[in-house]
Amino acid sequence: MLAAAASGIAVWRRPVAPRADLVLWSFAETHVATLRNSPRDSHGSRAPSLLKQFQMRTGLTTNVSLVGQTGENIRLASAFMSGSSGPSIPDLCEIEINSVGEFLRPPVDDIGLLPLDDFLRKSGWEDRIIASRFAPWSKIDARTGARIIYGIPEDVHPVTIAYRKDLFDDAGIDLRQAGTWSGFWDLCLEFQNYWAKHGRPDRRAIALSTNSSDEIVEMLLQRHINLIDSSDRLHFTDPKVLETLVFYAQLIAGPRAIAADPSPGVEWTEDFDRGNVCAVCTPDWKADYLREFTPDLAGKVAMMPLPRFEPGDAPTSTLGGTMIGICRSCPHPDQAWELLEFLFLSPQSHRAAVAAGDDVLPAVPEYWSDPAYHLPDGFFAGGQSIGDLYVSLAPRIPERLMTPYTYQAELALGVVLHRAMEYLAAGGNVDGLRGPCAVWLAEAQDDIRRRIDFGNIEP
Amino acid sequence: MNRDRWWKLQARAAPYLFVSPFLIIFCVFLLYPLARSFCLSFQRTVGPGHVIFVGLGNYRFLLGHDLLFGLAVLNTAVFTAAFLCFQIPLSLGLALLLNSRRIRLRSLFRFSFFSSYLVGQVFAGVIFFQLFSPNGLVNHILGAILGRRIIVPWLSSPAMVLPSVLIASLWLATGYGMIYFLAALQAIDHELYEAAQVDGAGRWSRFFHITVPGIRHMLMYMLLIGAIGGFQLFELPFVLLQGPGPGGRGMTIVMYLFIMGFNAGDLGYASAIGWILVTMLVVIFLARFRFFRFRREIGV
Repeated sequence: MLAAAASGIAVWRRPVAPRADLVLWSFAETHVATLRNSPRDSHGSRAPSLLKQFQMRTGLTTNVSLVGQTGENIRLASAFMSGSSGPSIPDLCEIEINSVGEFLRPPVDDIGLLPLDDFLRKSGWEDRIIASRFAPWSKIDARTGARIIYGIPEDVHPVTIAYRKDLFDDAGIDLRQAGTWSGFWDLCLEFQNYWAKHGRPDRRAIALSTNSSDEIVEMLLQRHINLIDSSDRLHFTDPKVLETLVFYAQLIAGPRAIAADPSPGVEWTEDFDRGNVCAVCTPDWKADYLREFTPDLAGKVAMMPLPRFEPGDAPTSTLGGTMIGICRSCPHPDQAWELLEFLFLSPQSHRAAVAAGDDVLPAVPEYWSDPAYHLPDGFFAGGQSIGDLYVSLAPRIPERLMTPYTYQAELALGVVLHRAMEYLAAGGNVDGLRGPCAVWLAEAQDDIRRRIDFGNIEP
Repeated sequence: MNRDRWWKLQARAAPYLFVSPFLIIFCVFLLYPLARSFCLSFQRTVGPGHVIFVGLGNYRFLLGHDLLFGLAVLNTAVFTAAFLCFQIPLSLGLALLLNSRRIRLRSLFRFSFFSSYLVGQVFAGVIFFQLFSPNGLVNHILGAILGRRIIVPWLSSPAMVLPSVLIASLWLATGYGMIYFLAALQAIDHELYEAAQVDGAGRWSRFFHITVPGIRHMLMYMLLIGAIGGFQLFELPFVLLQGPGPGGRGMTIVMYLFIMGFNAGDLGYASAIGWILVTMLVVIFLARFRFFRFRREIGV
């Protein structure tokens, strides 16, 4: 008892390091490293870290904490739902795109993040950031119909296809000729047939997920379809969703399948290296994994835009994303905005990201002309500049919307996809699949509709 | 205050003082959260300014309209049944084996089999995630045995989700069950076996007429604990499948609770799921008592 009391008092009396003027939570180690580390300038000398530069400019101290993503979400959700404020709550926080929906659930005045529209307008960044990337971090005010922005996008994440040019060349196939998904499918079947005859019947043309709805959602985005739009309208029963789902199911199941499930984590690079799968959907953040984990493939890999379904579709899609926002409880929002602007939007922040060897395109188009994005890349066949490709696709990325129900909608889509796969795997034909698939999609839509109506508390 | 009154005061206050640490901790960390979550289950909460009383609305929606909850209950029930079907015989078999005096280094084996339980579900999830990955050890071994490249989609095929979670769970829990059965087996009077052997009873006869009745209370306890553990399953499939798994086949009730609470941000609804789960567990618990009473009534 005495020992407990003594240690309790000791802990209580222990001096606590004073809180920095501004505290930022990030879930990504690479982001934290870019902010904390001292980047090298073009002459090779080290500049102070971004945090140090900010302190020198403003006299304000900043603490950037690396918090595990699930932990950050739970802690922020608890803080926002209880309306807490004080030193334990950060002033700024990074939120990942798949997590943001839950934070946008309350009515606009009750969301734990500060609306940033005024800051954006006054600073001029509203017109300098790519407009489509505000969509995931915004919510429509049910009273006025106005869109309110709660987060500044840090990235664009256009998606391309990286493929084993050496293996496709061996099969006499130029994958870049495939302008449409159906053409791409035909070429991939031809590729698999070639390799089946040459001792590799297990070789698959592309890695597509049977396990998550990531790639099918990418395809739907290409067709400008979000399962739930900003007005909470549902689009499961859109004919294009049915068409895309049936098409995708055939890519991953049945006699004309061309895809294998991507291995988890970065293990897919091993499959790519061994030629088990020979193409992979590659958002910009994924490109560096190829260089890092498959160095032996230098000169053997090429990259191409996504094929389309129809001429009006986007030649790219988007996967992943991060926002930086200011917590509503922050006592000094102006200082927090100044920090946000400096760490994530300023030319200094851009230079630090480039110096860190980041492939990720920023959400500010004026930085895309940086020569760093247009250099020939020795890893890709013929020195292909993948930066050039990403930059050319970035303005055309489709709008990705996130609502509190998007996660559940994509989960429901995944369940329908599995039923479709099971149907094909059991020997069912495509024409016979359309009818049941339409019913399953309608059921999924009804389920999500009920959830939205049930959870909706706004007028 | 005179000495007499001081002693009386101490005598009266001492019991309360001694139980107060437990009571305070119990009330703050268990009773209050339980009461709060019970209240939450009748509310819809979307932020500090929006707490709406919805009565039984959460429960009505959950039981009447929520297809994903139905899927989670089905997954959990199937897993629990399969888990018990394998865990009890395996644990009992191991216990019988390691109770035999013919086995050398019994203590080492007992500890080895039990030690997997010490590492916890998250660790087991991480380990089996690596083992079951397409290029993982399990597929490598299968490939080596069959002499060709084998890719069993352990974690990406809906049909393989249950076997994968089951194998990982059994690796974790078989040794734990074994320890309990060992304790029960050692409590059986050895003279009973000797007498039965003298009377000409065979191995199976001794097993069914001496061992099983001797460990039946432990058997019921293990069934109960296994069923409760099965219904509370969360961390293992969450880590192993990185979420609800293909087609939602790995989604358990607690995982759904987590998703609704922290992905959908609806703590009221998540609380209602929690209380439905509590009700299910109470039903299982009561069924166990009914079963015992029934056996007593029929004299078994």
